[in-house]
Amino acid sequence: MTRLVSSASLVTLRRLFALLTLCSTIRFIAYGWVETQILQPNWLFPFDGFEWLPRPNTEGAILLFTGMILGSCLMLFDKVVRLGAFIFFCCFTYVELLDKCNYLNHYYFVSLVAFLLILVPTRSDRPVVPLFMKLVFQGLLALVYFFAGLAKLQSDWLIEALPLSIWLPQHSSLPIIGPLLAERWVAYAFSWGGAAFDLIAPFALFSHKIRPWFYPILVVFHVLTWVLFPIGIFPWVMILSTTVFFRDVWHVSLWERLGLPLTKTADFDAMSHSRFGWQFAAMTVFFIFQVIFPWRYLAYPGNLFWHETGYRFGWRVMLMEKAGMATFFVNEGSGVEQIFELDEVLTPYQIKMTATQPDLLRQVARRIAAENEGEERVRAEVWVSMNGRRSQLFVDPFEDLSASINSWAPRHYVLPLDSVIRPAEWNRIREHVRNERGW
Amino acid sequence: MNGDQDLNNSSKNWGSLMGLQFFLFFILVVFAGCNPDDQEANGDSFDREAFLINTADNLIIPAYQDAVVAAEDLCSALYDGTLEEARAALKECSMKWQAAAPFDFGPAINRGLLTTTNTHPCDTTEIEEDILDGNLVPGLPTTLDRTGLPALDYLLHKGEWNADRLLHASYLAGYLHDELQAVLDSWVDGYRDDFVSRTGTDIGSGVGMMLNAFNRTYEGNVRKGKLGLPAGVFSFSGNPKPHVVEAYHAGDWSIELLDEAMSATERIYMGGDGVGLDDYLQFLGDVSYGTELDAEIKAQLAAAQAAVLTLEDPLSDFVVENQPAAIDVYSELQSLVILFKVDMMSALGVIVTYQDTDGD
Repeated sequence: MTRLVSSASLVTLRRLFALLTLCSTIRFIAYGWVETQILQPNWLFPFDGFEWLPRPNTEGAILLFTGMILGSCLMLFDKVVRLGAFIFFCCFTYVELLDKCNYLNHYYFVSLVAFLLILVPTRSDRPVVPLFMKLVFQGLLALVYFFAGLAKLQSDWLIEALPLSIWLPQHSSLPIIGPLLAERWVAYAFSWGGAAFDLIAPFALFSHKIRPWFYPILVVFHVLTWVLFPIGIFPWVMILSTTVFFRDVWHVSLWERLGLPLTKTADFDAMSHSRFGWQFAAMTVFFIFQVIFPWRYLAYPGNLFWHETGYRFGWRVMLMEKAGMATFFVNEGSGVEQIFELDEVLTPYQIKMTATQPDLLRQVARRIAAENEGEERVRAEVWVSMNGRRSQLFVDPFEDLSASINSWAPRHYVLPLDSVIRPAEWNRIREHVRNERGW
Repeated sequence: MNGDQDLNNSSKNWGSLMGLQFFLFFILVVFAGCNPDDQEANGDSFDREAFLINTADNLIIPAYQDAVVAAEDLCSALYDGTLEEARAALKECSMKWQAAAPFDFGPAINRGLLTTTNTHPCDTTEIEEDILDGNLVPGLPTTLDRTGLPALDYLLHKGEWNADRLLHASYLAGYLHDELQAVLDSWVDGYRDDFVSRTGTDIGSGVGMMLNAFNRTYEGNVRKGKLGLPAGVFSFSGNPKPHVVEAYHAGDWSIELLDEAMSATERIYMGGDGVGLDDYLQFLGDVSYGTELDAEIKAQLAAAQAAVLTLEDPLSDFVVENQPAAIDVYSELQSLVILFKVDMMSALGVIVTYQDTDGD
């Protein structure tokens, strides 16, 4: 684990990563998302446990995004690389923690890689690193594919080819491949192929024999997802970072060809094994956490995609079509209640994201209750459709969602998937249920 | 020390770099062919172009044409008719508007047609001042509740009818007519062709724009504006707000207008006599989110229309005297929102978000 290996692949990884974070930061700013996602929303919904983070004002946002650009540039141009990684990590992660609505798996991945780059020396004039430092990046990538593949081994994906049989036909007007995408069997082929690809990837990437054949497939796979789905920079993150599996000679030649040759003479004597003790310990803990944390959903009964308890930070990417509509009611007791109009405080994107995520519904309810500092109870009638199922009531419509806070406990207020009540029927029984539940 | 083992390895895996170059070429090919709007819709998939053509030619343009004619009639009634004739013309114009209101995208949204035409309740105090000083500048965010059908409703039904009121009413009717005409002209002079050529399903596509406007206006202007707000569903302590009903000053058309809006909703869903959303859903070839959903939407449309007919004009009195009954009708309208916005939109896979961002 601590034997020394060439650091060439990590130099490549760090430079490509810095290039990506630089481009994606500039893209984020250019699309006006700093305004629409961070500055304009009246309310933000921070990750549980990070509610204390001060919300940035305009100057704060400028500082954070300047920090991201500065950090990326330091990493890209080989100046105080680990300090650059540290600055980028802090600014980027800060922004990500501000609002759950903006959570994306690849943002989490970017945070993790930036964190590792704080610990790992990747300067181009340091030709060797202990093996475990290379393995932790490769291992993390392998886990991303593995968990993404594992999450596809479920009936919606494999038996019904959902959500791909809804998503793919939308692209039926694409040239050449378009007509195929409207075919049912193609959705099945993509579903099974995608699952197989994800599960094979960790092993294929580690194998020197298979990789030269597999990597082109990987590129095609990710480019296809980029063409077909609105998943931002994720495909490029994966295409570029998986070069860390290539042989060192490939990386050395790459930088020679680009006129930035790496230092070749290894000063092995200066590297004492014992120096890496704490880094080895930190990365071992990091990796074990990454292996275990996505499994936490096993502790919760019911359909993970429905209740989403333990869903995030588990590499579940593009797995479901979920749409919903939430109506919040502020109840003053004695049956008098009014609708709380979400569109007056939430952005359209927040309205969309909160409607299908139970912990966000509870955060919205608590914010509403905080606005009306009285004895009010807050309930919500939420209709959600998942993977082609008809819409159904998502959470208990007569539960005071503002009464409790998010925790690791199972979310009993989420109704089981596959109930059959229709909106028209609900209209007929609502008052009956209201009386029974004491609202 | 075997760390340099890889460095001395043969260069066998140059193959992967060659592969990389080949696939970069492949990426370029995919990019090059990646503009969906350039292509004719394919025969194997739902013919969205036919759907858009039907929507534009048989629903949208006729709706604006009818509204323009009705606005012309209103102008002439004000010019040389009696007050009663002007009121009848205003009612007709309000009825015709219901079929055009759901198409609040493209030229309509560029001109702010929906808000200048039908922001109710109107500001009667400001309108009285406008009559006297004639300083009204229509189309500003601050004057939306001083123009359009609600302001005309007030002028023609309240206060003593006189030359000043007639003059101001004629001005407002003229403005209303000109705005409708301008939107109609935009549709005929090019926007129609642009619209039907956007055959994708993303936010800027014809289907995307039309359905997002359809849902937004049904949810906000029909369900909430015409019934939910007056019935007190949205107000503090649940108190009804009789003065916010549509055509409050006329008093006895509010339900006819709501009924007409529901008919327009149904007509858009059915695509009139042509290719509509019902055909689109049935085409999906799925029982649950295809044919069953279509049947449920049709049933709920019928239920909501039947429920609307149980209301009685003046609606402003009804919501006070029979608030629970009004809220029951509202619930029927609300159920349609769920079916349209959640079930239908996810079945069609049309992006509902009004904001551009990455997903995952």
